[in-house]
Amino acid sequence: MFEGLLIGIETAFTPFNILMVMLGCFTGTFIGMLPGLGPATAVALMIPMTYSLDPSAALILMAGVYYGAAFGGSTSSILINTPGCSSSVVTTFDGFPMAQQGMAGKALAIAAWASFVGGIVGAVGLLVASPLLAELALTFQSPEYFAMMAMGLAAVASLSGEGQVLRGYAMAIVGMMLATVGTDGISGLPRLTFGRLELVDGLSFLLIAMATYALAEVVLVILQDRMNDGDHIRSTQARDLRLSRQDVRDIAAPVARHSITGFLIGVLPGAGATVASFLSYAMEKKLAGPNAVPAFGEGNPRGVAAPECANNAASTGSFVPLLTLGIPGSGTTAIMLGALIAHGLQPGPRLYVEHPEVFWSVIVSMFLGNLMLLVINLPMISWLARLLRIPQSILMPIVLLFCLLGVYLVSFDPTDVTVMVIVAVFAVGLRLLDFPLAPLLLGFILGGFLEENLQRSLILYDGGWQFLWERPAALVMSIMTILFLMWPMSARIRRGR
Amino acid sequence: MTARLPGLVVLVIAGLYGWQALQIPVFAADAREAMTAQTMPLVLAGALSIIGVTLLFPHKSGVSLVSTLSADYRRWWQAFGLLTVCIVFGLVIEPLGVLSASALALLASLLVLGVRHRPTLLWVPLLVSAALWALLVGLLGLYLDPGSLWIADV
Repeated sequence: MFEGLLIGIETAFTPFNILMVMLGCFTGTFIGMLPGLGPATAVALMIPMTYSLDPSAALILMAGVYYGAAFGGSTSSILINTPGCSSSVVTTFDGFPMAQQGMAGKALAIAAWASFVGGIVGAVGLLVASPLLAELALTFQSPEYFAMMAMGLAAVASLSGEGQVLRGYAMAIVGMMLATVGTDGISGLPRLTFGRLELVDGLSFLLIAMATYALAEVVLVILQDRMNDGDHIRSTQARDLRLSRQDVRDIAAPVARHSITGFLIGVLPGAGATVASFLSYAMEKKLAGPNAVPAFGEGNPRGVAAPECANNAASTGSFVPLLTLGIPGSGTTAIMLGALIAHGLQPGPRLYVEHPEVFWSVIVSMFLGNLMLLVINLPMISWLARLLRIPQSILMPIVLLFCLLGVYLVSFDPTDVTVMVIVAVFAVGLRLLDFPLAPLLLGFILGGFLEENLQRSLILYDGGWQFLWERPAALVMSIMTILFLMWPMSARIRRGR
Repeated sequence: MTARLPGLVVLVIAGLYGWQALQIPVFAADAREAMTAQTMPLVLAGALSIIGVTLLFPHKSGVSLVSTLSADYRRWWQAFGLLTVCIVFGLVIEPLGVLSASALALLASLLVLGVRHRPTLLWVPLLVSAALWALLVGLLGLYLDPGSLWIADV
């Protein structure tokens, strides 16, 4: 582990990679602040920029964007009561009331320190858990991979949210359907290509990611009238960013508690930062009791600290299944997985052995990135917040241009732009019908590998399915898959009682 | 009817995909294998159909986000306009080149979103597309075709 850590330090601490962390944190913070554009959109928009970078720098940049966007999301939650992403919705509950009481600077500082501690605890967890899990996963063969991917898909879909489980499964299947387009691995013949040569290599991951997360989001911001003109931001004051000793004492215990719970929730595929933030807020509110002063929802600093450290720890925790098993735990890490595949890397245990510099440099960059968010982004927050004054009628066309260029520059095929528009319209329709899109992306990425590993397993076992119960690891994961599939049903039965 | 719409959409997707899956050719030699090129697509179509049927009979009405849509028809025109700009961008990028097509796409998008301030309409497209071009060509080292229209003129 120490040898790996040294490799990581050596790779992450090159001037260029430090620049990538800074750029990622800064860009992520800015995009994350924009209402409607969360970490997934921010990471998707950065993918085209990473194509000419080496894989370590690319992943470091995207990781920086990821936690920068989470940080930016909390900033807009506190300053303008508009969460930049779903994981910072809870921050509005107490963060905005604090801002209304003239304590915007304090709320931002609490959010930043809590995020920092959560991020560092998450990074330590990642440092310890990832190599152990990767060593275990190195013994895996096709049956285990098949069982693991089925488990990942079941977990993400079953944790899609209240009332969205079936829709989550439907989207995961639609994603897998999209993955079947292209050359068939068994016969080598084109499959579902409608005779078009452009589709022989399959659909572009970036096209799907840009269409579902970036272009569809721009269209929804307009259709749902979420565009601000920037005028209402002028009144926000975020100058005094100091915390008193009492403030630190107040938030120390919640931050310690929820950094650990956040990390553990983040490690679970599908749970992610949003679940972590809501759960930690609910737990902290319960612990504080009804006599908390100020009350939760009226500007209690613990109501800002708990979700902020939990969501950052969970964001870092979600890298554990991504890096060690190749299973993304959220939409954002699914996009990162796709980007890594585009770089010719297969995340999973082989990454740990074959590209230790990528594996370890990402972990090391987490420490660096969290420090940068605190040391550089926090003091710049009042300046960054001024960027929110730029009307969205100017910002949205720039985001749109990023989508267009991003998709075109991957293939240099103008047809891809039209296909992106069609997929985006489809995605907007699905979003309006309350279908979650993260399982679609996950199904698209994992679908091909799932089919490939199932085929290999069936060949190994002469067409029989006994590999699911004869191999211990595959058996455990199959049971987990069944539990994930049954969980929503049992929850419904419990509610019915 | 609105409550059954998600189920109907899923069933239509499953039906169309399943029909296409049946058209996938399978070699006679492969037909006896446990898994052919058709297997996974047909399993997926079947699973999606089951979910579609289940969604047709929701135990409670789902959260439709349709009600969050703006009643202002101008927003719909703006969204439609932006998507049209995207398609036109795809059509003109090869003749015009990345730099000119980007600047024009930005200008058109700003106009669609109601920006009428002339300095903004001039400087935002010029500066943003020039900065992006410099980033792609200068920093990331990509070769960007100047556009067939300009090459033909030379």
